Amino acid sequence: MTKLAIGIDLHRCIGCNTCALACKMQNNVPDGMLWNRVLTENCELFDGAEGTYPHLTRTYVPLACQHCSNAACQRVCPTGATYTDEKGRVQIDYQKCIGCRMCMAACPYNARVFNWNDPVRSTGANWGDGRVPTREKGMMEKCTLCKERTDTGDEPMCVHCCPTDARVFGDLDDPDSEISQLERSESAQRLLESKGTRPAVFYVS
Amino acid sequence: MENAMKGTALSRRSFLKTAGALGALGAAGAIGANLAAGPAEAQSGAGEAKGYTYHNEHCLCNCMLECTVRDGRLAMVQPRPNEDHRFQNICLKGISEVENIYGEARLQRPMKRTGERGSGQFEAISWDEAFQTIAENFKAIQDKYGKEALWIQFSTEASQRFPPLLASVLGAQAGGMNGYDMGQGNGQIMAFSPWIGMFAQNTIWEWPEAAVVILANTNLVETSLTWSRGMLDAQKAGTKFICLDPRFSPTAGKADQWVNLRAGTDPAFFLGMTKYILDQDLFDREHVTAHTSFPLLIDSETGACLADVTPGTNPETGEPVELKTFYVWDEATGAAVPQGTEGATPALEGEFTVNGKRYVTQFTRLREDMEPYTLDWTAETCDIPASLVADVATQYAKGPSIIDNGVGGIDKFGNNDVAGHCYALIASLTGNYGKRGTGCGIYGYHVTPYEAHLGGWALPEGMAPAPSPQGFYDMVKGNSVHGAMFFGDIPTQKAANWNKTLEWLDSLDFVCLADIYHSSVTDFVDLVLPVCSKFECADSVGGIKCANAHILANLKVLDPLFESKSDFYIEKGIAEVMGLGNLFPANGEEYARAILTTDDPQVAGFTLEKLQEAGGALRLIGSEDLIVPEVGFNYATASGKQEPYYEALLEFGQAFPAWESPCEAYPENPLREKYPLQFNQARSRFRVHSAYSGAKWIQEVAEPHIELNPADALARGLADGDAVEVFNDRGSFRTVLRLNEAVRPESAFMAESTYRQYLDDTIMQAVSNDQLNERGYVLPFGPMIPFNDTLIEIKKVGE
Repeated sequence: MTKLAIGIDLHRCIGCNTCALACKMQNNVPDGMLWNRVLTENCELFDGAEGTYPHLTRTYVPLACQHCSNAACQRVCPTGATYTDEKGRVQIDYQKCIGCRMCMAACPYNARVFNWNDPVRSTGANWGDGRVPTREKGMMEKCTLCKERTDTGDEPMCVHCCPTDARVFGDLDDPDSEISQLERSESAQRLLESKGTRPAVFYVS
Repeated sequence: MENAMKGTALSRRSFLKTAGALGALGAAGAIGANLAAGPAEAQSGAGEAKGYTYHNEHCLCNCMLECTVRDGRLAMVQPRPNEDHRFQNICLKGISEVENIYGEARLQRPMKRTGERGSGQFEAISWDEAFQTIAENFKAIQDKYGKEALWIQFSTEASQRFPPLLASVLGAQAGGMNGYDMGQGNGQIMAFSPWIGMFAQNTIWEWPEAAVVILANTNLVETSLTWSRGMLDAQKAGTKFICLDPRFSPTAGKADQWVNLRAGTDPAFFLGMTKYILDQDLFDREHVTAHTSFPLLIDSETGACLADVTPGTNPETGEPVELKTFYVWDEATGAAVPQGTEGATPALEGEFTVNGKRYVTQFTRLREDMEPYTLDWTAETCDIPASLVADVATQYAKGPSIIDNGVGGIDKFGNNDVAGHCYALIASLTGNYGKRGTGCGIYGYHVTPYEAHLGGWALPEGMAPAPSPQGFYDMVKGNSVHGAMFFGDIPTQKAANWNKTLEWLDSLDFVCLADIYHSSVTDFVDLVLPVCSKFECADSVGGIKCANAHILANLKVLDPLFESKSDFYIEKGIAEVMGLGNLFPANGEEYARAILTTDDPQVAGFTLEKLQEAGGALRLIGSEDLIVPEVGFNYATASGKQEPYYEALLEFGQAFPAWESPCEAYPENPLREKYPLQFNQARSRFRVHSAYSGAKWIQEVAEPHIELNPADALARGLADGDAVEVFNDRGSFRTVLRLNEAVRPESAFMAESTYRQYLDDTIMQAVSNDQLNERGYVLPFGPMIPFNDTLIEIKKVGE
């Protein structure tokens, strides 16, 4: 079996948002939408800090679809548009998506974005990888683990562009892979484990 | 001005430590559709081509980029594959260009102003009319006032990659002292000659060999973004990072230890460390005796060095120089003997009589001079615990240690040179200069020791820019210049106190701007020209450069967008109207070949064709090892030793660094009653100065705002998201307030400079301090503008 995933080293993450924009570019994500965001843990403001000056800490948390093994979004999808593919990636069949947004409400990670209107690209043209299908008004979208790239042996664009090598892509079912070794780190954790979603994406610190 | 913040609002969520509240989703939905989206289906491979360039050079990362062009439009920008992973880089700024070069801020056609300055009223004109107008005005100004009355200045951002020629051809002024970025350099350059005083003599890749790296006002992870890997890898290897910053900056958050000193007090922190190191005997006695000027004798009253002076000649320039033979006190014979006397045992400390006069060693003077800087004084001045000063001093002295300074923070204070001088002093004192894992200077962008000597375009003998005796900081106060052309927004980026700058602009007979984007100064000039972005060329090549141990080519990715021209063709166009076009290369290819004509063996055999085949970059021959040989202990200083004692600064009381308050933002300043907040502006990852201000993708993750500590906001009745006016006696600007515990109380923080259209048509340099430190005029890099040595107050707009 194959279980593709990304492991993120939170110490190496400098909050630069390169992954967010690399994803936006690769996947032709329209104006005002991001599949991949970088949050500052427990802060309203990006680059905020926890605590009271000068007793402060800060953790950036890049956040996109966690590609859960027990995906809440998939369970609530009434049409089967959301599915888990043969490589363990949670995908959306855009043709089956009816825009009910049940998945959006179900996802505890707030990882899905919806085309409330016709997608706008201020440049007036599509950008990104030409293999990525376009989406229309009424369709849900989210991180696909760069399906078009990873299907052909490339790593996701967020991993490819990360300036600090904070992101590791690979197959969790291969015990010798770099990502599996990273997953065995003591600090490895999944987000909101109590939800029982069993994310593939994990974080180390 | 709207109070609401736009863009991708992110809800407060905690993912790591608690389950976090559900609901209140913060993901952005699609924003209102008001621009027609291209209906074309994306199709793999159809009409796709690859192009190569490098970008951004203004942040000095010089990322080598592989660009995908589809149907004639930029579709993707990725890092160009590189065998050396350290040079396979990109960040959000490079990626954002996919939208930005087509964005709403782009200048699209030549325009002349039709309304009042600042009105934004323009009419489109042809390139022919633009060139004609510029040529007529340039000629009139130079005929009336002299050639040097015209000033043509380039910013890194809006100029392409070929060295400019127009100022040389016209004999106009082109330069001038910077007035920024070199304040600490002014203070450290003299100790380790022949060092250039800014970039360190070794590279960031040597950091794993240091036990400690002090990041002195270096927000490395934002301002040297792609080189953050150097810090993180060293940290993984065990190097400890100590970050000095009043704000809990992104770099402070990644460091092992944070020193949250009061803004403008970096010199005090280092002076306190120096005193502690002396008192605790933590200095490197062997190093100090062998490799520094500390044992040299100085007049106990005047501070002048005891030396024999003989006339000599500079071996490189042939110019006459004074050769000095310094004296030390030989403990063996009890007499002053020339430095270097064989068999002598120089005394490190003591007071001695030579020919009836009293002399002390520099080291003894150091102990005296450092007396005031006790731990308690330092703690009070820097507003930090005394134990923190002692702790950092102990770690630094143990070494091997490095001081990495940035060019923000203290560099934008009136006492910046004192800070740099302190770095040189403490490094000399503790043996943290010269050997592996030690050093000081700028490391953030310093990733290779290699620099190729490239060719250039030959102009007729004697054709050169007029000397530029003044910095822009003085030019704006005088009347020596009557006409100006800026490539990029020089006036709002290189000068403080915008209203003074505006008065100067008003005084000019003619001023024009060539820029890629509608930057802040655009509405204040007479004529505007649209410049190509770094992805556009009329020719197959738009520039050649040496950086990152490579020769980089700015190859054509796109044809010029809209009606833009590269700065090369703008210069050439003006020159042609003035009858001087024949002095220019015919095109980019000819210019590129001239630059590649060199006998430097590092680029032997490099041609334009080979650069094109290689995807725009060739590694310099023999540049594999990015760690330089040990700097060592031979110096071109007068004594041949490390010389932290600056005899030339005796008249300023700064032979050894001495504490000097910031010129405005010091705690006791009575002005604090009106303007209690120190205003800290600094570069962020989201822009390079004002560049990328209009990049919509970056706006989706970060919008311009000023930050206050919540306690300061509460005291003013201000709330997160308020539209506020920031003001002092010099002027004001408007922006949005955000609250952040990371900001030091009694200060305000703002990522520096954005276009005025994003600040409610105001300019943040309206408040910044333009008061120069007179000492700067005798220092190598001239005086520095104390942008951050500024006091302000903040109130709600309309109150």
